[in-house]
Amino acid sequence: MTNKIKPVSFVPRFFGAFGQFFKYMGSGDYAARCQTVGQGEQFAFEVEPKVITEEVEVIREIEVAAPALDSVNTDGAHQLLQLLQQEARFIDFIQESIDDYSDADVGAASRQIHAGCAKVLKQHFTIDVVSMDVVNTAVENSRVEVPSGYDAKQIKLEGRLEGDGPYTGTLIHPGWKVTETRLPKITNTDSLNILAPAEIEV
Amino acid sequence: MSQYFIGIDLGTTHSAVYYSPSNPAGVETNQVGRIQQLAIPQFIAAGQVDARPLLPSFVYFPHKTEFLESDLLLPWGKATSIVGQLARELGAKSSGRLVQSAKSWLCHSRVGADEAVLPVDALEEVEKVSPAQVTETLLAHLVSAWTSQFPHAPIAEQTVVITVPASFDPAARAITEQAAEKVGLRARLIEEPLAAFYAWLSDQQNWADSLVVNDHILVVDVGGGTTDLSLIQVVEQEGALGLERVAVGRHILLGGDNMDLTLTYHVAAQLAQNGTHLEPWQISGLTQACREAKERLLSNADLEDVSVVVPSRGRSLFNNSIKATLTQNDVQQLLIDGFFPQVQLGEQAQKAARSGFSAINLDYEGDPAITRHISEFIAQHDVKPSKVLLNGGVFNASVIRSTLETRLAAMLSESLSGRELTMLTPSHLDHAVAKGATYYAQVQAQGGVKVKSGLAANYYIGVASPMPAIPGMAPPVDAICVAPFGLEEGSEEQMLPNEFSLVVGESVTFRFFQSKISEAHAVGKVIGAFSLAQLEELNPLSVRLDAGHYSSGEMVRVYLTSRVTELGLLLLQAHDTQSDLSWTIEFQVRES
Repeated sequence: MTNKIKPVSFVPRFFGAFGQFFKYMGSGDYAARCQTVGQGEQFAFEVEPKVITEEVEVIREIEVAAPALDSVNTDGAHQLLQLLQQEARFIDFIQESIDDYSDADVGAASRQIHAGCAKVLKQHFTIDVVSMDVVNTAVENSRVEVPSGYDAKQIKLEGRLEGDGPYTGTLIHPGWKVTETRLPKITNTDSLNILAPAEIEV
Repeated sequence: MSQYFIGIDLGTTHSAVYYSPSNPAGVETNQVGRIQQLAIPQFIAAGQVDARPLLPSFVYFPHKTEFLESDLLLPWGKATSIVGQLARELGAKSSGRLVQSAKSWLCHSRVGADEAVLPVDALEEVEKVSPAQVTETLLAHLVSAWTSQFPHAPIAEQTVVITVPASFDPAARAITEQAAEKVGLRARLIEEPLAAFYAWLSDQQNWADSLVVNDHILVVDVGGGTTDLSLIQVVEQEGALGLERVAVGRHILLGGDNMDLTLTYHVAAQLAQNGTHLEPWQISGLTQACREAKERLLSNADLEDVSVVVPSRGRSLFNNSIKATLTQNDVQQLLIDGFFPQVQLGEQAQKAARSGFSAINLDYEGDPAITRHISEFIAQHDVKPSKVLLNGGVFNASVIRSTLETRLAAMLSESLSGRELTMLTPSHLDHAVAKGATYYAQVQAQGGVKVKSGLAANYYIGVASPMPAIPGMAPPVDAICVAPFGLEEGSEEQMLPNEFSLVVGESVTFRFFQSKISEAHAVGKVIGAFSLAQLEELNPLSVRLDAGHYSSGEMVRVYLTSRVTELGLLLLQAHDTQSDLSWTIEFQVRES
């Protein structure tokens, strides 16, 4: 606090009192102020500052982005299509309409395509059933018990689903999962979208 | 000490590498001695590299525009030629750029292994290479595959065994060894049927329980392109059982691929009757389809027939596709009766009459009957095998296995006199050779039962015999035995009793022969010029004597010695009788 009230000693007080007498007499306003002080009122700078704490609720608006869905790497998808075309002529088969061909024709062709696709799967992936890990069996139509805190990614419950579990049910499909992927290494990813080059015999 | 034992099966159509850790320190204990397969990175399409268990033994020389530079990058650097799966696929579509079956060329009787003859149908701009170079290329690929996976175990420091056909002559073995040396390998060679037998040994808890003294084991190894025969005898060795490889068959260019081709041409003939003529590209598609059909028919005898489809090359799988049917009956007749007919013991394989001139190519077998080749082999060596070990993918079909068993039992019924012919249970039919080679490397280093196997024949050099000059007749050549059958590594150097005079500073060529029988001759035994027909002539030998302290053109008296190096190679040397000079006699040198 910069201006503090200091006691005034006797001599300046004695002579000051005369001055004050006239000042008091001459100004009603001054006299009123003196009276206020005389009644014990304090000056603003003498008063201890009072800390006012008050909680103010601040509402700020934050913009939340809509959940962005991640797109998977297209290179891997292209590479798999390449492999399927290469070994099994998969794209040729699917792109062609089979409506005009007999079942025997389609059957004969599908044997080769099956063999080729099987080769690709076997060479590049290790595929296993899911149910062996989660419910300990892979026998379809067997009764299985699913614990309450099951992993929804690995198990899909369907039918009359209610309550907290554990749930009992029939294993409809044991599920598939990839345990190992061994895709060919590539030197560059530039033209993976070319699934099969145009072939020209010269 | 090496950290790994490595077995390389350098096959005619496929190569494989097996290995087992040798050093207990740093390797988990249960890993020691376990034999594993090396995955071999190779191109499967432009710019795509995949590690596969087998490396097809094919080399393709691409056209300069065929691939971008970035398409030909392997994990260990840029490739100039394509090796493996992609090479095989490209070769089926483009001609004049593919080398295949290079191994069979190594023991070609009229073409040197270092003559640039491959590809046989090379286009003008494709530079031809020699069979030896191709072998080196294939080995280099396998070595790089090893190095990229085991950078801390340089292959030069490992114990490596490479398999070769039992029928390889000393020159072909030496070339394989040299090719290995060039890529930094110091490899020991082992014969393939023997390797298959080692694979069997490695599977046995106690091999001696299954064999008795004087048993002869016939090993029949039918690969993709070749059939290799060997006989192993059980002998008594200081009270214990020992094993000895007593005979090997000749180089028979006949294998599983012939069976697929037989079916292909059968189906092609059927199609031709109906007016469909196949184009060359359809043949390879048809072969593939026939192979699959064969496997289905052989594995299921109840199946009546299987349709064979060759789709068109265009987009449509149905338009212009070629369809035919292969029946169970066809397969049985063509394969079983064609390749495994019932034959009498001693029946000789038929030699097909050759046309006067034929383009330079491999000498494919005239007689497809494997049983007849076996009977010829057994009769030639006059032994009566009582046990049989089969090897090769062909025998995955149980029908073929049991047929061969029946045929052999009938062929040998007399000598078996009521006893059963025992079929030894083979190790993995496709991988036994590489696995056995790895086990052999292990046995070499750490001990174990070994099959005694030395040289597979007697070897002779041709020496002009002195005779009065007769106009129009070259002096007859006698053959003198330089290395006896069964000569083993580490055994004493054999010295020829005769001395020869050679001119210093010039290349001298000897004719070189091998015996067809497996009875050891004494070194120095002379086979007269008139009985040379009982020997088989190999590519000639040559020696060039560096003058040393002699003046050029001087005659030097030398004696010849032979021994088997620690890597299993025959080494012939000429030594000066007057000083310490000696010269190595080389196999196969071309004057060109």
